[in-house]
Amino acid sequence: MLNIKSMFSVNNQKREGKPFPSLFLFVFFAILWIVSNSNAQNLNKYYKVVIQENGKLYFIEPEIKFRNKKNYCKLFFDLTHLTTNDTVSLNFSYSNNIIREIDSIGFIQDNEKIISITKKIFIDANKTLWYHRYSSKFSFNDLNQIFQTKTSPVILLYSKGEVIDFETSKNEWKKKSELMNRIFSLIKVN
Amino acid sequence: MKKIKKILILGGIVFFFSSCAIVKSPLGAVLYTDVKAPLTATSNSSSTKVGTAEATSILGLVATGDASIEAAAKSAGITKIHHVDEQSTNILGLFAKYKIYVFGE
Repeated sequence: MLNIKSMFSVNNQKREGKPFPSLFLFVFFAILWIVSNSNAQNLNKYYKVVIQENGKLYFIEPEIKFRNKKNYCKLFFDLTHLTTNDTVSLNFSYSNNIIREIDSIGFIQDNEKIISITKKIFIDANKTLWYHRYSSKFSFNDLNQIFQTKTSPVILLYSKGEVIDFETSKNEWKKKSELMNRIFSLIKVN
Repeated sequence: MKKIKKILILGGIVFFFSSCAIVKSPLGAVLYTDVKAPLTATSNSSSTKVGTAEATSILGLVATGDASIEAAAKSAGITKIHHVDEQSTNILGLFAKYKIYVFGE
C-alpha cells in the first residue's frame, strides 16, 4: 500500500512539471564525459607543426607521466623534430628535493637500451623542490621504435654514477603510444 | 524529498561554478572551447626550438601558472623568438587552460 502511495506521489511530481534533478545531473555528466573523451582522442591536441623553408618543424607533447616510486618524483618530456634532420630533440622536466647534475638519459624496453647525453637548459627553485630542465637528442627511428612497442619503457637518468628510474602505467602507455605512433606515421608520410 | 533537495542544491552549485572559469580567447563557447590563435611574430629567421608555458583555472576559484613568453622561451632555451601562438581551452567552465607556444632558436 505504501509503495503504491509513493508511486503516485512521484507521478504527481512529474505531472506538475517539477525539475527532475537526476536527469539534469545525468545530462550534465554525459556532456562532460563526451567532451573530455573526444578531446583525449584528438590527435591535434598532442602536436603542432610549422612549415618553414628548411622543412617542417613538429612539436609533440605526449603528456605521459613517468614516476619514480622511491623518491616520488615525476618526469615529463616533449619532442621537437625538424623533418630535414634525422634526430629528435627530447626536452624533459624533472623535480626533486635535491639538485642533481644529469649526465645522460636512457630508455629501456624489452631488454634494449638507448642512451643520449643531456644538456642542461636550467635548474630552478619551485617551492620546496628543484625543477630540472634538460635537453637530449635521439634518432627519429629509435624513438619511433619505442612508441611502436607495446611494453611500457623505463626511463633512466644518470647522475654521477647514480641511476634514477621512472616508470609509467601500462594503461597510459597503451593509450599514448598509439597516439604517438599515429603522429610519427603522419610525420613520415609528409 | 530531502534527497531531491540535496541533489538540486548540489546541481545548482555545480551549475553556478560552471560559468566561472574563463580563459582569454578570440572566440568563446559555453560548453567547450579549444581555440588556437596567433599572439605575435618577429622578423627573425626560421625556428628549431619550441617552448611552452601555461596557466590553469579550476571552477573559476583557483587560477595558477606562469604563461609568460619568458617562461616558455626559457623552457626550451630559446634566445631568438620567431613567433608566438596561444591556445585556450575551457571545458564547461569547470576547467580552463591558457597555453602559449614560443618558436625560435
